[in-house]
Amino acid sequence: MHIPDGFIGAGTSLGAAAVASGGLTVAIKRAGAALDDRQIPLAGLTAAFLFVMQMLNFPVAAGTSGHLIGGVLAAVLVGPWTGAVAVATVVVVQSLFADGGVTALGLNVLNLSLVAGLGGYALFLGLRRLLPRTAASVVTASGVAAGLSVLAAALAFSAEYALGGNGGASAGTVTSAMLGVHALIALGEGIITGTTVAAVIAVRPDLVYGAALLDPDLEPAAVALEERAA
Amino acid sequence: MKRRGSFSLVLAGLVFVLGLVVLSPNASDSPDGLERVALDHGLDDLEKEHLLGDGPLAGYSVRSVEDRDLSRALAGAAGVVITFGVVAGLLWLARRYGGRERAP
Repeated sequence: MHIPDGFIGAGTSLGAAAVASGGLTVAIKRAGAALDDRQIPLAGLTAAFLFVMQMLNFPVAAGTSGHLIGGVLAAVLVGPWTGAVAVATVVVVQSLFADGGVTALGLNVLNLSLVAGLGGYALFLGLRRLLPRTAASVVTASGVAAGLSVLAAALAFSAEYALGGNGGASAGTVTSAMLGVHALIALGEGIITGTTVAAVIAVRPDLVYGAALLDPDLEPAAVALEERAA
Repeated sequence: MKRRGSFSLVLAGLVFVLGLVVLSPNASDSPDGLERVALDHGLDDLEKEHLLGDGPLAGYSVRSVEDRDLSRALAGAAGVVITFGVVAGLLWLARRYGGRERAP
């Protein structure tokens, strides 16, 4: 879901760029404060995984495909701020491949890194709190939050279109079309996210930020960080 | 305090990711969700020529490589390496210059 140049007018694009830069600055600062050096390669790997997964479109209906965003996945694996930085970097690198407009970068970073990533992580925390403290809950909460994050991003685009879209179609038409088309894509995102989180929890639960509360051996500082974030 | 290294995991992960890159030519060519909505509702003619549309890596292909699949895989590999590098670099800098905010 990468907005090309020309879809959204300059005012809205600039506004989105301002919000995206602000949000990204906060994310970079907080990621820097919370990380230790050992986690940096893992963050890089997560971003690299997102990059390739966004190239692997899967068919969802005749003539339509979808791909993973990975905002919630990244947040659950390496934490929300680092995750947001990862997604934003993927979006920027993709523009070098002419995937997603350069003037639309602010919009794409806002929708994917902040709305889907950070917003999706907030949904994950909320869902996890409602469920028992098990690995299965972390997996379920990640999957459901990931699916919802896709719809949230679709709504964000619809709002941007309503504010500054250059097309003739009405905002209402675009909104319902976006939600309809992305329903199955959201399902795919949820399944891929849940499966990946489950796989990492199975081999290295200590490397899943969103599962920190489950690990009895985890150093108290990390748990305190978790509880502060939750 | 349980502190297991993650070097081998990251290495294995990168190999896995590059393996996925090799699969990328098999990915679906159909328009994605946003493109589908644009096509269905007459928005696609709004799309402007991408500023980097003539770049060496535009469209996930390496210009000088003729074989389409190889070209795509190489472009994907380049993207993976660049992404990894930028994220690691950014976070390293953030840690180095932002670490002071951490509680002692």
